[in-house]
Formats: sequence, C-alpha cells, structure tokens
Amino acid sequence: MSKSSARLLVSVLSVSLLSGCWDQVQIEERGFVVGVGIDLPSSKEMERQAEKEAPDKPKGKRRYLVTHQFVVPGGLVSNSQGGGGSQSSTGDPFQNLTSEGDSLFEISRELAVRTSRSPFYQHLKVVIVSEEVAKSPNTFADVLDYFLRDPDLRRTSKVMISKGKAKPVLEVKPKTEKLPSLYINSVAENTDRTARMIPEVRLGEVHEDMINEFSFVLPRIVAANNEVKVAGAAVFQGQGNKMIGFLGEEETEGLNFLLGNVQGGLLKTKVKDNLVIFNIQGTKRTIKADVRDKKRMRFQFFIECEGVIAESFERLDFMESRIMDNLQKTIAAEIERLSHDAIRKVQKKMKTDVLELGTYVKQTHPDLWKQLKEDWDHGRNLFASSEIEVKAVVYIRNGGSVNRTEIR
Amino acid sequence: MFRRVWEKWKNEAIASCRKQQSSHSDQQASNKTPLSESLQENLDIIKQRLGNPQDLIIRPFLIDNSGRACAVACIDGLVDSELVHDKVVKHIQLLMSPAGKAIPAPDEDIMAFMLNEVLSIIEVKTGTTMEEVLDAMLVGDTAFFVDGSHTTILIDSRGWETRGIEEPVSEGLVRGPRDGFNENIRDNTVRIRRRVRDPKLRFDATTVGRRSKTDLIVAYIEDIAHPNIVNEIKRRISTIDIDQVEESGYIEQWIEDNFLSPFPQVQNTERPDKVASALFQGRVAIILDGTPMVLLAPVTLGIMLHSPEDFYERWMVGSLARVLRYLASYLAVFSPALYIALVTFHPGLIPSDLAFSIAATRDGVPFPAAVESLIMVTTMELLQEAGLRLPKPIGQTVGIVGGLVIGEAAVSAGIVSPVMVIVVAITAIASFAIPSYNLAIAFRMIRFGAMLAAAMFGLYGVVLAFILIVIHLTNLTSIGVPYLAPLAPQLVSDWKDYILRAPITFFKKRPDMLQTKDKTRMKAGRSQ
Repeated sequence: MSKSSARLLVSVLSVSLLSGCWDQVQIEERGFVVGVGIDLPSSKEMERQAEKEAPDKPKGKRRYLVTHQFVVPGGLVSNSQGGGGSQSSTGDPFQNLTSEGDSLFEISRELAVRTSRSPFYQHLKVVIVSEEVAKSPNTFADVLDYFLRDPDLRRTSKVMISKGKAKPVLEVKPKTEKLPSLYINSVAENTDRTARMIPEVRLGEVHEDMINEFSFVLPRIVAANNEVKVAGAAVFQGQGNKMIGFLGEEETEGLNFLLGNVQGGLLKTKVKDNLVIFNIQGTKRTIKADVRDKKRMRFQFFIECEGVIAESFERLDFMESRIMDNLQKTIAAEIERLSHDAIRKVQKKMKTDVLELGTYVKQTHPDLWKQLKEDWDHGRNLFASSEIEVKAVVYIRNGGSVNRTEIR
Repeated sequence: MFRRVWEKWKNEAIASCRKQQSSHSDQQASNKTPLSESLQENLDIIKQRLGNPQDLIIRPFLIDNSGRACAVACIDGLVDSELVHDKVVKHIQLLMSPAGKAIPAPDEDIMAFMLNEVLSIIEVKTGTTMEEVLDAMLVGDTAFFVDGSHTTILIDSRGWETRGIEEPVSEGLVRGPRDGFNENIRDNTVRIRRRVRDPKLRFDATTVGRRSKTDLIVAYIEDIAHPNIVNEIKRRISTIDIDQVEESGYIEQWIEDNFLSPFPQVQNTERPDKVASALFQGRVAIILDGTPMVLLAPVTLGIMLHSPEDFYERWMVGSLARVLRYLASYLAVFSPALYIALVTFHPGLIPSDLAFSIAATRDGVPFPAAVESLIMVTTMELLQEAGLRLPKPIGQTVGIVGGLVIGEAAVSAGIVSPVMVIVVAITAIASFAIPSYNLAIAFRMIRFGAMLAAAMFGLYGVVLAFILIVIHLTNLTSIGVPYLAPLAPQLVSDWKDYILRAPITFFKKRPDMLQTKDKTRMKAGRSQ
C-alpha cells in the first residue's frame, strides 16, 4: 500500500473509531423530562443534614425543591403492544422525582443516582414556578438561569406560576391525557376559546423581558381534584423580576383586551333583565399616545372586537339594525368596564406596566424612552401617573344560525 | 488527499489495462489463408478448422449441364434451411439443368455469372479467404463453392429461432408502446428504424469479442449527435479486447468514465421508444447482439430518474411524478440513516409524542438503533435478492413470508421496533420507485455508507455523507458530459426537462448539455 493511501486509511479510521458514537444515547435510555416544578423546601431538615456532612462546602443563599416529571414510555402504550414486552404497562406513564439542593444543575445531576435514565430536557414542555419562589426577592431569575443557560434546553418551554406549591400541579392525573405536563401544555393553548388566560409565555420571551427590564405577566395555574385551571395572571415587576401579585380572572380578561391578546372568549351583557352572550371571534387593539407632558402622559386604547351572538335569553330581533347597534354599544361598555378594572389594578394598585406601554413608547419615541427608562414603572413611576383611556367598538357579525328560538 | 489517491488508483488501473491490451494485440496478428481452387480442399479445411462438428452441413452437388462440382456449406440451426434448399440448391439445379441456362465457358468467371444471373437472393457477398468464410458461416451465412474458383459466394441465410417481441419486463409503463427489444440485433435495429425514419440515422456496425465475435451497432443521428461524443464512444469501443461479450454490461463497464463510482454512467433500456427519443436528443445507442439491453450514452443523473411516461402523460402529471422520484431517491438513500441519527443522537428533533412512542416501542429492543437498522436493511436486501433468483410464483411467496411474517414476528419477538419496520418499508418502496434499476442499486449501496455515517456522527454524519455524494457526483462525467448537468454546470434552458417537465410546446431546442449539432427541435412553439 502506498504512503498516501495508508495515510488516508489511518485518518479515516481514527476519525471514525476514536470519535466512535460519542454522544450516542439510545432513545429508550433517555429520561424525557416534560415538566419541571420549582418550590421552596418546606423544612430545613435537608439543609441541616447537608451542613453536617460538609460544613465548608460553598452554599447558596436559597435552597430549592425541584420536581422533575419523567416520561415512562412503557406506560404510554396500550397493554397488548408492549414493544419488547419487558415493560408491564400497568404503572403510570410518568414518574415525578423531587430533589432538594441549592443549585438546579446539582439537583438535575443528583437525579442520576435515583433513576436509570439520565434527564433529557429537549422535550421540556412546562416550567412551573411556585408563587412562593416567584415572590422571593432576586429568586425568579436565579431559578430560570439554568434553564436558559443549558444549550440542551429549548427556549420554547412554557413558564407558569402556580398558586401555592408547584409539585401538586405536576401530580394531577387527568383522564384525557396520559402525561400531566402535556395536559397542562394543551390547556394553556386554549386561548381561542377563552379570554381568561393569557397566551402562553415561553422561556425565551421571559428572558427578553427580564433583559429589557420590562414588567411582564405569566399565566397562573391552579391544581385541584386531578385537574388544573389555567386562568389569571401573575404580575412581575421588571425591576428585580419579582412577582408582586396575581390578577384575577376578570382582570386578566381586561388585560387581554388591552394587550390585544383576545382571540376568543365571551362577553355577557344584559338586555331587559335577560342575558345576551356574545362570542368573541377576534380583536384588534391600537394605542395612541400623547407624550408631550412626561409627568402626565396620555394613552388611548382603541379596542375593536368582532364576533357573533352565541346565546340569547331575551328574544330580540337581531335583523334590526337599531337593536344590533344598541347591543354593540352595551357589549362595548362591558369591554370598557373589564379594561378599566384591569387598569385600576395594575396602574393604581400594582403600579406596574404590564400593559406594554413602555414597549410602545420605546418603539415609537425611542429618544424619549431613553430619558424616562429609569423612571417608568419604578423610581418616579411615570406610568402610574399617566392617564389611560379605553374606547371599545364592537361589531356583531350575525345573530347566529337562527334569529329567534321562540316567539314571545 | 482523496483526489491524489484516487488519481493514483485510476492511473494504475488504466496502465494495467493498457498492458493487457497490447499483449492481446500481439497475438492477434495471424495470417489469413486464401481459398484454394480445389473444392475438396476447401471443404476439408472447413471441416478441419471447425473440428468436423455434427451441426456442419456440407452438400456437394453437380451443376448438371457442365458436370462441374459445387457445394454449399452451412451450420445447421443457424440457417433457414428452407431458404437454402429452395433458393440455393434447388434454384441452381433447376436453372442450370440441361434445359436451362448455358453455363459459361470454363475460363469465364463462374462466380460472377452465378451472382449476376442465377442466385436471386438479395443479401450476398463474395469471400476470398478461409477466415472470411468461417466467420460468415458461424454467423449463419451459407457458403457456396464451385470447383475451380478462388472465391466463394456467401449467402445471407440467417434464420434461427428468436424470442418474439414482448413487453419489456424491467420497464413497465401504464401508457406507452408495449414492444421491447429481444435478443436478435436485427429485430432491434428494425424497432429503432421503425421509429426513426430519418436518412441521417446511422448504424455503424462492428464486432466485439475476439472469440465470440458479437455484433455491435453504434446508432446515432448524424446531424444531431455531437461528433465528439460519437467518436469518443467509437474509440472506446474499439479498445475493447476481450474473449467474449455476453451482454451489453461488458460494453458498459469497458467504456464508462469512472469504474470506481457506484453510479452507473451508461443507461440501459429494453424500450425502443426510449432509445428513439434518446437518439433525437442527440445521444448515442449501443446495440449488442444477444441481449435486449441497449446502452444509451451519455447519461446524467437527471435522465436516469426520468421515465418515458413523463412525456406520454400531460406535463403536470409528469412533473409531479418526477418530484416524487427525486424525493424517493432521497428517501431510498437516507431514511434508515435519518432514523438512526434522530433516534440515537437527536431525539429532541422528533415531535414529543412520536419521540415518546418510539421510546416505548424500542423499550426492550436489545440492539442499538444502528444495529437494528443494519439487521432490517440487510434482511430486506436478502429478500430482494432471494426473490429475484427464484421462479416467479415462489418469489411472491418469499415476499409474503419475508415482508409479513419476518416483519411481524421480529417486532413481536422484540428484535426490532415497529417504527424500524416502517422505515425499512419506506426505504424499499422508495427504491422501487426509481425507474433505473442500476441507479436503484447504486442508491442501495450508498444507503449502507449513509447509515454508517449516521451511526457514528448523527445528523452531522448524514450531512457529511450527502456532501460527499454531491462532490462525487459533481466530478463524475459520462462520456465527458457532467453527470449533474444541467444543475452543475448550470444550464438553465435545460431545466425544462429536469426536476419538472415543462409543457411539450416549450421544448424548442434540444438539450444544451449534449451540444447537439442541430439545436432546433421545433421552429415555433404552439401557434394560437
């Protein structure tokens, strides 16, 4: 064999054999983590024990209790089809492992001593942070640091705030889905049916807001009786990224109108003591701003909303334009009421700009924004002193398939 | 580095070929024996040269009115004995009977007389050497000797049993002519002539094989095909120096540009319509006696993936079928590799639900995905090979046993996962969708390389393998025409007949990549 072909052979062999299947992990050996819940530990026992074992070890300020939800693929398939059949598919299709520590990465690696499958985060769907963690000062960003820094993790995982502990949220056993995390993931996508949840917020979007020091809202999730409820919102102050409180369902609806997030949902109105229900099919929001006076800026929200009549307990003739006009006005008034409620809460009580007005000013008046950036919704809080008006217009496209159910 | 090693191998191979060739040509210089005047001597030499075989027929007879001895010699089975009987022996005897024509004086050329006045067969020639006579007889001619003449008349009396014209087995179509080539070169040239009634159609004949002396015809249309292509093909054929040529594959392997490439550089077909359209494109056909497989050169990867039906159906149908075939070639090469890469290296790229169910079905499979794929793909190759060798009815049974029983049983035994069975099935179906069998084989070979790359480097390896294949294809030529034309080199006007097939009225010019002499296909497009 000539020298050059020997060289070729050596290089091909060394490239292939030395690297040899490096990084190779069979799919069934991966521990797919689909959900993570982050709590604060309820007792100090573990901490004390750790202290005793290694007193000189560097310690973090705070300890976390992290629940990883692993998929147990064998539990996902029906009994007759077991693939190899080694897995008797009687158990749950998921396994929750909870560990305590002062570093999330440490916790993740500690799981290796407890499970045969090493955690694999690329299918992570939801990160649930408990209210307690979110409300502790300087903790929320610390908690998300690992999830943002690890290249294995996707910036598309959804972030939610649980009312109460995060662990029980991952322990619900829904009937319709096999995996709690996928169930939560699907529920959070139902924004075209209701206006009471804010659209999914992804890890990457949270990161953007945190870097820009914008205040933001995250969906609230509550677990009860083997089901979850994704409704309401958690408000985060951009300065310090600390949660300051929840918005209720009604307030969330108003906030959604103000943010132009409403894709579906309903509005109730009363006509002559009877309810008429309006099915929202889309909204459009525009903002006008008068920024001449920095201390008293004026913002005008203009909300256009269209939809159809979904239910009517009052026998109205929806073919008549006068009745429709009136109805449109009363529904518009309802939108304004909801919006004002939300504004009252976030502007006057929380003094936190989750209405994205800061973003609006930054985009339309970048020079001005540079001056008031430091005093927007903290410091002198120009946001709280600004004036916000809401004007809504409703277009009822039709009265449904029938005009009347009965003649009265 | 690859290039240097490659050049070296190539040069060594070519040099060794040349050496063999020159040694052969030394042997070939042999003397020719002129025919003797004596009839008996000639017949004796024939018997001796052929070893007096059983199928040698020698029929001596007298030309009645002169008493001159003569004889016909031919080989039984190769000749149409009825023709020899009616048109030669009986004819001569009748015409030259005492009541018939007068025999010329002995000093006159009796052979010229026979040719001009007696024999009424159109295909005759004269021969003067024993080699000529023997060659002609072995082809199926009948030699006619007259005592006292130096020359012989070689009468074309070929008439052996041939297979009729049947539908081509390897290239079925829904719409299109049903005739295919057969093993007889004359029948095959007829099939082409019937389609190309152009006086410029050239059938340049030669024989190949030192001992087999197989007829070979290079067909082209003189004022379309580029002379360099024709001459290069003829030159390469003239270098062929082997004992016997059984099939056009011998020719293909001798004249191809790169014998180390897995890709076929000469197309073969048993469809006369395909050959005719190739001739009109400016390509060259090589027809060999004894095989229905006609070679077409030059060829590109694009042409290999085309089917005549693309033009018989309307253009949208043709275009869609082509897109599908390009997809099929990609799947045929890369689908097992992609499976390996995704399952062992990048489960994050699989949709979550699918990833979990693949994980569930692979639970308990004892082999890594790479070994699993190798087992299944090899099994599929085995089935394919076994099905080919067996007679048709048994072949189908093998298909059922292999496909259903082994597939199903392997899954329930937990040797492979059901997803793997699907991947293998897709691979097999995709490779059957490729119209050229030899290209499909090339893809089957590359598939293993792609799987190896995927097993070692994941998707990165798959991409590397793809780049490697593309580099190789870019360098490859077929009789000097780039294999990736019209993509590389970029000949935009040829894209009308590439991945999409443009409406038929758009084809005003012949393909640029073939550099045809007559470029015009139609004077004007559709006139409306």
